Amino acid sequence: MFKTQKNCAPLRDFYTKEDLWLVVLLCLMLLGLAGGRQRGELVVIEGPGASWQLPLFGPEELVEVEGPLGKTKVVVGGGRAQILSSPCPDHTCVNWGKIRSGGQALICAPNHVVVRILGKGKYHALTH
Amino acid sequence: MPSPTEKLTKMAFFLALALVFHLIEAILIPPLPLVGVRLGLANVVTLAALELYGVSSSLAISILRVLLGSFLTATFGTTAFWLSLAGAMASLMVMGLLARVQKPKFGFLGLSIAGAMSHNWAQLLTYSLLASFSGFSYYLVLLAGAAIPTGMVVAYLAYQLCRLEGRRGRC
Repeated sequence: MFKTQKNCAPLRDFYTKEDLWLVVLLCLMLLGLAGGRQRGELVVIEGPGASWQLPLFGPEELVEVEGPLGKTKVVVGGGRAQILSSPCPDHTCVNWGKIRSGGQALICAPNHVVVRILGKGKYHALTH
Repeated sequence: MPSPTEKLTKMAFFLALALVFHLIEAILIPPLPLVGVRLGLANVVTLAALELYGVSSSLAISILRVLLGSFLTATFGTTAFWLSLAGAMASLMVMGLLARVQKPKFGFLGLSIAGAMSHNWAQLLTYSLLASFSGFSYYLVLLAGAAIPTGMVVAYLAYQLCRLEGRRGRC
């Protein structure tokens, strides 16, 4: 079952020049994808059954999203969005804290809730 | 050239080590392996076995590790089980392919990072299929970013493991 011939080849290097290029390339790619943070304008909340659109800089509003596990409470307004409580097991979405700028998102995967902030000129992303 | 018995013993040792790593991660971090970013310790053994003994041995170790690990944590057949199976298979496939490429020649670091990244993306894809939920595109970038530091740690550990094994008579 196990081959026994290959064993005498020398061990590959810990890193090679190509590895470093790979890392640099990936970092640049990720920075390109994640960077370009813009001022947020609109908060979109998507649950399994409904979705909401609220202004980021409006008065504070509490939204209760019904998901498969129960209610996820999201607060939006005053320049931030935050998940206050959620019936998920690990509460990563709650511990994530507040989000403030365009392109950022809060996700409660177990309860299927996505909260994201859209920046200026990003409204075409809403057509779905 | 190691005898078949020696080979079998070493495989068993690697499998045991992989299981220990698998369990450590399963216990330390909550069972839904999606949101928490993990180190991917079990990948240390997958990578070391791939380098020392080839793809087929590494495949055998990964499948057995996921299977036995799920028995020990009582998660066989659950979402967590399918996620770890998908992740393990994807990262082994990518690392196995890259290891065969001679030019450009990748080292432990490149293999490990590529493996970690494919592991994460495969899990993300599997989870969105299982939960029929597709709000994860934001996570792609986050998980790919996380794969770089975790891949470095895993590469270092796998390199040391290979050197240790090599000193004990690889040839």
